[in-house]
Amino acid sequence: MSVGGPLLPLELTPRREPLEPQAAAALGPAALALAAHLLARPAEALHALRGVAGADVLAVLGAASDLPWIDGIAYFGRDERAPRLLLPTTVEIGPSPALLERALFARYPHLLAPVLVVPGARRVVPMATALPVEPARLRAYLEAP
Amino acid sequence: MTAARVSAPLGATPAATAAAANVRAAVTSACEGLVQRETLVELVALCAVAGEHLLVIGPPGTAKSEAVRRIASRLGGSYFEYLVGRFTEPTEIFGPIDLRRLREGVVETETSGMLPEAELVFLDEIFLGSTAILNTLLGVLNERVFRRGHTHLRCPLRVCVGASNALPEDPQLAAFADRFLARTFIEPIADAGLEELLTAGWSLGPSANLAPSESAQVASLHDLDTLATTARAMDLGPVRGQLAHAIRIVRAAGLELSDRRIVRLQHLIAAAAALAGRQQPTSADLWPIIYALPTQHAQRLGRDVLRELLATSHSPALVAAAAESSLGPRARGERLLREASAVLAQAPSTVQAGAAVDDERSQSAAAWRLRLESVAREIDATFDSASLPPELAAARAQLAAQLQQASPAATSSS
Repeated sequence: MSVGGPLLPLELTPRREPLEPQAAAALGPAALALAAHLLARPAEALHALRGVAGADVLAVLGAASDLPWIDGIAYFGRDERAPRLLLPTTVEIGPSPALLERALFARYPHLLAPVLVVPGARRVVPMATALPVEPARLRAYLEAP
Repeated sequence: MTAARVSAPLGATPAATAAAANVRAAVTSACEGLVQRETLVELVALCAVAGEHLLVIGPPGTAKSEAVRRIASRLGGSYFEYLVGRFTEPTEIFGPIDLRRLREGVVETETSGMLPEAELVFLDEIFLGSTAILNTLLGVLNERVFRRGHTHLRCPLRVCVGASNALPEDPQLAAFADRFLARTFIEPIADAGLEELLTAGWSLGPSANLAPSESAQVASLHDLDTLATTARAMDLGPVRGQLAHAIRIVRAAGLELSDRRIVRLQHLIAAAAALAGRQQPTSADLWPIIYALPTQHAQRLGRDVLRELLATSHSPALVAAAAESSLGPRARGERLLREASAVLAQAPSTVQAGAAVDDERSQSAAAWRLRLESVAREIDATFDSASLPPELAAARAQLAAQLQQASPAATSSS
């Protein structure tokens, strides 16, 4: 979902120490490329992943070693200051991840954690309803109009 | 992509620069075929230059002795290795009594080929040694002097590496253990590295347990001595303030460092600077502090509380050790660059013939692709595009190109 209007001015700075990846997401054309990449994996390799798909976003949850890689993918992890959010592993969101978490859930009370935050695209992706990644679902996603 | 180069900063002597390059090459050579043991190999080289000793703590079967044996063979010099047991006699380590001299009433030890004449030593299960062995070892470790009976011998020892499954709890053994300034803790290979471990282990074959051979030598004791001389001549004044500040931070975190360890830590810092090709240490060379902390818990906590101070840690020669100790972005980037270079160089060879050609090549290529993806994933999860170091960005582009070649429809978003 897109966040209409700035919740608060965000400051993005490189993290001194990256977060441990727990999720990966691709937007736009990269989402389709990610779906095709996952479909090319052996079916048993998908068992470790759960995912959420939207019109132009595909996001998966899993252990760091199980997450896929394609050019254009981004990785997300948990900051202990905002445990309900999945934040970019490489970028610190200021002024405070805790404030961002409170503001998001206050503005969108129906959101269920965890919520993946893509600050550059001003997108949030609710991950609570993530389903097991399966070839049939990936094919349906790729074939959707 | 080549391995990290040791540049020649202003003021570094040609001899020291060449020696650092040779030791760096020795470390790189020793690490080939080892999985996740680069830090151990690098710390042996660091301690050999610093004139300090290294304690390796880890369970059996984690390649401790193999790693030490490899770097010893690449550095040259006489090497002595022994698995110490509860019933090991001092003569098994220091040499037998000279019977001819004994008949003359003189107790002398025949040390030829034994520890007192070795330049690099590895003692496995060191804390199982008897009081007689450990007391004699104390003199060798502290003063480089072997004393036994009428034998007083100056030892050419550069570094002694002791290994054990665990740190000793007995106070007397703990006091002996304190003579090993640097410590590293080894864990079994993590799940993500199992394929690499199996491949490397199979490639080693039956030669894995052979003694070091002269043909493997890459550097020399002269290189170690050149760097040791450079290190001893350094002025640590510019970093003493930061070092003292680091010690205060560590103490405030509840971690103890003896006065002896604090003072001798300077040897490791100077050695780190010499191996990095510097004439004087800088803040980039403070990372050995972590390895002077006595327990695994202390080292973990030390990395955390010293994160800011060690953020600029950098060693072109000891990449893994600096990265592992500092958690700093520069050291991390160098480690990833080395991993990317290594995996790009491991492109699977073609299979000659046979019914299994396609299966073997397919499996080999798939395994390699997974390793490429693993490194690419870690690069993208560690650095955003704006902060990606240029050399690492180039390596990433090569990884992406290889993955694109492997799966053009599914890899790239472009």
